[in-house]
Amino acid sequence: MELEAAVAVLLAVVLAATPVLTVTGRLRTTLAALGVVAILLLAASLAAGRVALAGWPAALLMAEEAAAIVAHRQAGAGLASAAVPLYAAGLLLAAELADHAAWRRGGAGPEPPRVAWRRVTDTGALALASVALGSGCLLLAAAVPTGGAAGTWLRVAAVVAAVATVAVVVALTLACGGAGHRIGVRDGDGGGR
Amino acid sequence: MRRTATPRLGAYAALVAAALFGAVALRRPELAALAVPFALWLAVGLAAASTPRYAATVALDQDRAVEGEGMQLVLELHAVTRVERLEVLLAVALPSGLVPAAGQPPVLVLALATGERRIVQVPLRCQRWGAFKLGEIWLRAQDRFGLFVWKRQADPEPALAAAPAPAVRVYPRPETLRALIRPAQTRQQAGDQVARRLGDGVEFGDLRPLAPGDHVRRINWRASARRGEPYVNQYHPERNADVVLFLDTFTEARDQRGGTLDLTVRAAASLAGHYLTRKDRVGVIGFGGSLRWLQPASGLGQLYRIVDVLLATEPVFSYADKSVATIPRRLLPAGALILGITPLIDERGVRALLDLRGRGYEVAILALSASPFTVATPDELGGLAWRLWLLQREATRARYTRLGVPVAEWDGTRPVEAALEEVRTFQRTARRVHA
Repeated sequence: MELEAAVAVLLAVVLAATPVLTVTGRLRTTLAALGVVAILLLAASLAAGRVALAGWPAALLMAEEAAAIVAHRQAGAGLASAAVPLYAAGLLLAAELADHAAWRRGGAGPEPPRVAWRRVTDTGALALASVALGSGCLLLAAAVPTGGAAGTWLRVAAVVAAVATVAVVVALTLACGGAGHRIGVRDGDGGGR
Repeated sequence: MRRTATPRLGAYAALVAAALFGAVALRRPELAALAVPFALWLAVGLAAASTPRYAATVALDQDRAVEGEGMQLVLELHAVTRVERLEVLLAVALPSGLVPAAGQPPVLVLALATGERRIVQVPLRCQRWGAFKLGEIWLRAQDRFGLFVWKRQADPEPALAAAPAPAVRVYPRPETLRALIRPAQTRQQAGDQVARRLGDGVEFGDLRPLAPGDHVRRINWRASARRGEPYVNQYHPERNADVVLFLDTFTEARDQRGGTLDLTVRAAASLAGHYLTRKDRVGVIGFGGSLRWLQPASGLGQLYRIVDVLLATEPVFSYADKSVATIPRRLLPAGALILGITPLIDERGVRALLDLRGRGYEVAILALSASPFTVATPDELGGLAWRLWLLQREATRARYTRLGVPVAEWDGTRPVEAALEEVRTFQRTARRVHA
């Protein structure tokens, strides 16, 4: 359990440092501060065993990387980096490790080996697949012309896809009622003397 | 079965949405690439998620145990479909007196294959005496990618579900007692107490001159030879006695380690058990905010009845000025030994025992020390109040002693046997005064 938490924090430190190294000036300080906040939040969620908090550090780290990408574009360069899919896969791994470490911290017993093995293989396989898919997306983006009518249609399709995704998020949130995932909450005594 | 989303579902979906919107708004395809792992996780997870179907029954392997002993929670599972991950939430269900055994996590994690039947035994420890009903055991099944949770309760075993009374009884841990407080008066029925009067028995009592009708074998030849006329031995008969356990339940001193009520119940159960094995009649009066009683009787059945009364004992707060006049007369047989078990906190309990002594009953008191469960506040005033309170307890003990009532203090750390020995010493040395 402690190993998972340590690896999650270490991975988050690497992820927080990566965008900082690609920018200069005042933005570097801002991104560094953002990274520190993300790491502190991750450590807090792990210490408290609160699974619900484990998503926020991932969001902050993603925002940090996004800011670095935008800054890279404003500097006049082309595609930011071919390493973005790797960064994204690392983000997924850090989030999964943190989620599981926080869950274990809540007092859960050991997982059956079958469950643990499947979790590891599923996460690894999805991370690898996402690297491939992300790289494919970037290659496609570099190859597809963004000017003219085709570019306009592409942008319209992207907007529709984003709106559809948000709609799905809202629908899922409403359907699920925002239920938590806390462990060891005492709903009440089963009986009395 | 109720389905809910885990925080992972909401968080990943929000990340995907933010990254995609960002990509569109800022015209940066790299941001869309950032969303890919999370979107892939959601897509695969949502496609793979299906409602797990399984049956779960819960039972306990025994319905009674002694404080400190263990018992097993038996969970029988039958998976109709594959259950990727099943969490059994124990801490929610267990009543205050039952805790998972040392090293046992409060949440068990299992996985079940399709059609698999499994019996899971969870060791529990009976931490505190009491009568408990097992709470609802919640089971939480998760899909493979942890996006949804299906929560339900385990069905209790039919016998457990139908039981109107508490399902588990944890009896107080018995104290070792070799000698008891000897009642001054005994009854006519045979028992194990050596009566003070003379009659048929085995304990030598006295000598008297031979009278018509005496058995020849009772003649004490040595005494007869010394006195020059035949003398016979007299004996103390073995009789039983009435013992009434008077429990002062007005209030208690308690902290997280325990309280005076625990000591009351432990001492009362031990004393009742030992008196009953000596064929005495034992009754119980729970004198507090509410009055509970059990008429004196003997036998093993009475022991179980007494323990049941003790398990239901709890302090009931009340402003009512209660006196012994509220106790039914039949509960206090003439000549009964009243064994008061009291924390000496509430004046009404103290007064009631004095009143019983005033009515001519033989009273002995086991004063439960409240000091281990109370702490003085660190300031000067708190220390002063603490010392005054201790002095007040001493004064109460002195009041009893002046009236010929033996008082022994018991704090639960030393054997109750030692406290009873103090009472026996008092009985041996005190001079009986008849007012």
